[in-house]
Amino acid sequence: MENTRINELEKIAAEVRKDIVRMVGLARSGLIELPLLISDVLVYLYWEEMLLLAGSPSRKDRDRFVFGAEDGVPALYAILARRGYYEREQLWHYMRLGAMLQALPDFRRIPGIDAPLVTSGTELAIASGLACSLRKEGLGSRVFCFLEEKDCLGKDFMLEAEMCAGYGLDNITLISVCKDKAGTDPGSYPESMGRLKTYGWDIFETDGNDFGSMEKVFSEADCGSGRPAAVYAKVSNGRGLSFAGDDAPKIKMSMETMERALEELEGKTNG
Amino acid sequence: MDDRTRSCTWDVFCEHLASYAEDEDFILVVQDDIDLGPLNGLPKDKIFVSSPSDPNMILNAAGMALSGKRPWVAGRSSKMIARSYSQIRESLAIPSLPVRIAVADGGLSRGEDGASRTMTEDLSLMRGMPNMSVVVPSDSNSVKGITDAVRKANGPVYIRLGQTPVSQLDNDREGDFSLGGARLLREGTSVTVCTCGIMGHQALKAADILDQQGIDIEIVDCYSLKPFPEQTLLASVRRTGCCVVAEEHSYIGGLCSATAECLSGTYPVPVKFVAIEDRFVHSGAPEELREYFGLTWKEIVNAAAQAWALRRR
Repeated sequence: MENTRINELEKIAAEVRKDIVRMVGLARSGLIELPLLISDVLVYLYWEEMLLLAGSPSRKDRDRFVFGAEDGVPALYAILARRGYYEREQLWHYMRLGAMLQALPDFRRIPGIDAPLVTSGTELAIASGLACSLRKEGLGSRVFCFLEEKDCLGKDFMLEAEMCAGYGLDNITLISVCKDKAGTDPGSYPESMGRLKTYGWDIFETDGNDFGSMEKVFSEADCGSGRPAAVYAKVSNGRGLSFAGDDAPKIKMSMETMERALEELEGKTNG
Repeated sequence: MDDRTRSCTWDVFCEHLASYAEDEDFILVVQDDIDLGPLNGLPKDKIFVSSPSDPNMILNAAGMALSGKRPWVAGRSSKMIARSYSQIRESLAIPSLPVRIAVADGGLSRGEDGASRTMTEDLSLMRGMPNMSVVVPSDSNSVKGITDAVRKANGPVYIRLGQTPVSQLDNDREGDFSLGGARLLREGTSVTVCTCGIMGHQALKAADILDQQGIDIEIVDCYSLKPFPEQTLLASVRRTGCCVVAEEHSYIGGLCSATAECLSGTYPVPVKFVAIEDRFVHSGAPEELREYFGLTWKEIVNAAAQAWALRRR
């Protein structure tokens, strides 16, 4: 990927992060840490990887995105607005009565949302049903399933992962995001990825804040191998806000915090 | 009633569903622990055997519905309803996806398996869920007619089937079945007896006894619990002035509640319930359990006599 393109994507991601802070701040409810952390990965997927057309959100041969990171919903909303699925104006009404952008995505009301977010199950099962059905129709569409790494350890998840491999669903790409912990060795997968590998998944690791690294990994993880793929993306706290890190993992935004956060993000954007 | 043609609603359902299999979009989502009868012979691409996780099975079906399919899901009520309630709610009912959930062991038909696997509150759970339609077929004709109607539904539907052999309730008529419909099994003027599932058969037995006492009951097979056939029920109750509701379910939240909700708001009359008390069941043969919990023609006779005595003259 050329440096100019990387710069463009970084600018988009910076604007997305500001939108996240504004929307969560105006809503005076909701969490910002995870949305800020995953914004780079989502920008890469929506601008570089997935086949989609914002003007035609129901196009049959589009790639599908199954989002399962409940706390990261504001990032998805900000991305869809920035990508042109709806006006950014909608973001400022997030979580309000009658607003299009409810706390969890309403599959029927929001353009660009391909699947409901199920808080009590594994979205991988929705993704596999979708992938199986799309494959049967002969469409080349891929299904991207986005989860937090902590949600990739349950029994139901593992049973589904084993089944995906059994059916050879190579049109599924699982993106498992994890906060980059200090001292983690590069190349060492967490337990969940290790188990997926034993089931027959292709496993990849990427820096979730480095667009060049993501491009390299996602091009290798393209479908056609006969095996589902999982991309383990480490995201860094430094990409978010200084006061939204480990010390305050789930801060809620007040107006003052919002102003402070926007100032900090503006400072980062301007170098 | 012709005892030579007794068959359980689950078997008829499987047989009838197999007739849809040639449909290009037909897909059945199951686990590998259920006896599908004639459906076992379906081509491989028509059956999706999910992982051995009940919630995942529901979510698989939701994923297929998201790509434009209208899948059927079949299994046991304790697995699909009890263990997967929140998945049904979040992935099917809230987005109103066209997934048809059929349970093979509704009511007491697998009573041997005990309280944990015998759900007598499934209708209540499903009926209370917005966007979900709920139907309970009672014989072969209604299984076929209701399955045809459910096939066209645009939202999620819960179909409660059973494994107790039953005869045909009305041999002469195939009838029109629809979501929100009901079937008049017997005309009468004294008491409206509203039933679903296996209790329609008990009501017909009760009718013969009540005839001898000069009570001429009208039996309405309310196979659609939601949407509820309000107009059919009201038309009958306006003639009779009282009502008995009989169902193989807890009296909370199922047909008893639906009937009481309808009548109390529009045309209040005396109503008596023949249903299971607010308690869990024991292990036992289905017929023994029905006797034990008072789900027989005898209780319908008593309830009808009481309701008839209470009605306004």
